[in-house]
Amino acid sequence: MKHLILVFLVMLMVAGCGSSKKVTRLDPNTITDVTGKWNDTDSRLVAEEMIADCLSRAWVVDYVQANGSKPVVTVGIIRNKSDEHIDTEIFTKDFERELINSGKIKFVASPDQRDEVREERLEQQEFASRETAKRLREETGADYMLVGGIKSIVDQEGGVKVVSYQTDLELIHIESMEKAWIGTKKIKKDISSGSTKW
Amino acid sequence: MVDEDLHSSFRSTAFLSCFLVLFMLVAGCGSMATRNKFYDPITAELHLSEYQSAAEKIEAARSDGKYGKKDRLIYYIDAGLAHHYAGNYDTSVVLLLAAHDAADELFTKSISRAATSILLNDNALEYAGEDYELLYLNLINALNFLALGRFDDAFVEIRRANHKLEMLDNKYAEAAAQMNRGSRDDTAAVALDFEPEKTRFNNDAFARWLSMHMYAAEGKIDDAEIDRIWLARAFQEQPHIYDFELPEVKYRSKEAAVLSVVALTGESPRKEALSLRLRTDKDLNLVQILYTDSEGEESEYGHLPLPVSQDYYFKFAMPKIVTTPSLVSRIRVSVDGESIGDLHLIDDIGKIAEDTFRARKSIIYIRTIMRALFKGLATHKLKKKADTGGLGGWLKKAAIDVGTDLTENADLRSSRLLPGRIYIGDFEIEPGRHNITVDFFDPTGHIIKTETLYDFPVNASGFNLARAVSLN
Repeated sequence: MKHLILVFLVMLMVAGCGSSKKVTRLDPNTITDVTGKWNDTDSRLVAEEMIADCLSRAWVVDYVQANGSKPVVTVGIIRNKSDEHIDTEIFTKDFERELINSGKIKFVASPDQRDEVREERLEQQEFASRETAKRLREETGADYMLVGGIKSIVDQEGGVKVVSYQTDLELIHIESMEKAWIGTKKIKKDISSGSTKW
Repeated sequence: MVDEDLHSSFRSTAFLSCFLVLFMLVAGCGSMATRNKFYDPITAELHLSEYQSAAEKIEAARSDGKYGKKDRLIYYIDAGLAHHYAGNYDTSVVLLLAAHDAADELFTKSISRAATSILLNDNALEYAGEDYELLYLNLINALNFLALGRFDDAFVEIRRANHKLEMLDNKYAEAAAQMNRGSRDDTAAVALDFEPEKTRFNNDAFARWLSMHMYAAEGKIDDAEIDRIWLARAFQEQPHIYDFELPEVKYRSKEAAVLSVVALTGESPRKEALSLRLRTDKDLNLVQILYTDSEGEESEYGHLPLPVSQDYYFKFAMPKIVTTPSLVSRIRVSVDGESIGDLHLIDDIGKIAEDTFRARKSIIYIRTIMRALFKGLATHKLKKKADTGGLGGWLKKAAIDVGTDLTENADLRSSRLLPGRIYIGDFEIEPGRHNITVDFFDPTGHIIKTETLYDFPVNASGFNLARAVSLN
């Protein structure tokens, strides 16, 4: 018994000591769920799935047949309406990447990027050579804008927590305001709390 | 019966050894009593509005080991609040987010240990935070995000605060159920028929005021109006919390801009020890809890029907919430040197702390009684065993008494940096850049503190929020 108690005490003391840090590099495509919160994997998977759905719908073919060219799309604001702090810029980039890489549409810079580029173009009119300065009023106007948001519902009782995330996206025709596509993707997570660092 | 179980247990040497080891562990970790003395210089800095210095003293206290790992939540809240008052909003955000995550983790742990750690002094356990602390860490973080112009993130904090309020009603139901069921590992092996008290607070007026303005700033007038209605309902339906006049609020103006001012004042609610005594009655199978008031008058604090075969008398303590009256009795707002009106009270954090502590207090009460009963009975048996006569026997018995008293202290941990009261005001003024002055008056009409925000931008639309602090 005495030995058991001694072993128990030593184990407690050892458990209290800090352990050395180990770093392992991961493939960015690895699915990771450390805290249970919304993460890069969720962002990437939702973007891939929703954009694949968006581009598989009739509006793309209809547009090409009617206009003889690919539709031009821009991404507007994706709002975070969840109860987690989500970097919607990363989320938006995932959507932009999927749209551009699909090859089915043409893509123009998002509203917040345009100001910076326009400023550069204006400066070129004054400081760049006539041959290299880019022309004003030659931007490609977008036909559609992708907007949306992410919401979450938290269901919690005692130590059990289930979070449902819902991403809603809408593709709106900029001139007519017609909605060409609406998509929804849901993710549900059962979260058990981990240990916070100290 | 409780003491018969104990008697059979004590026949086992293994149990006695385990008890002693546990006792040593509890005694050895230096966590038997709450250490709050280190707050004195920090509080002094807060009273002087030296918030940066308070933040530095909190860091020094952490380096000195005043905040252990089990107290990490209090550190995150304290440091987060100090940096908020100092205007270090980015740092405050990081710390208050860490506090939110730690609270989530620690609450889950506290549920699972509800029945299994009755023997441990609460001071030795990880502090999971009081509901009022957890609510205001989100609301203060919302102020941080608003100051940083991060509206979506501020909304996240408001949603988190509202979610916590919705949860309050049932938050402790599972912990109570566990205590009722008892547990195979229950150190006191006592099953109870116990229901925690309910909190009667589920709608925070300040949270509603913030979201009302945030919706209005986004042009969502319907949503803003809904929050205005909910704000009014907070006062109507919770008169035990909001026993003061509903402040007049305004989220839009046709001809001018709306300047909104929030002031954080007063000292945080604190916990003090409520000394009680426990008496068992074997004839009535009753455990009676007695309270002696400041005039020496004794009254029954409560009782539990519990089978006992011996009459015993022990003392114990549990925490109670106390509030300190604020020195601030009036707050005046001036724009460019001209008074535009006073701020009005919207949240009395002391009242909210008292009400939300109700449910957890009933769990602490049961746990404390069980622990006091178990340890009292164990002490009695140990003293019997130690009674070998002579000076040696007397010393052993005295050591057992001292040990029991030392390990039975109320857990008085809480953040000392929250404000005690929140005041607000909405004023119509001309859009443009203004010098906003906030004067804090004491009851005699003297100005305690003046805070001026120079060249403050007030836009025709949007949430023009100015914030001032005087923690006196």
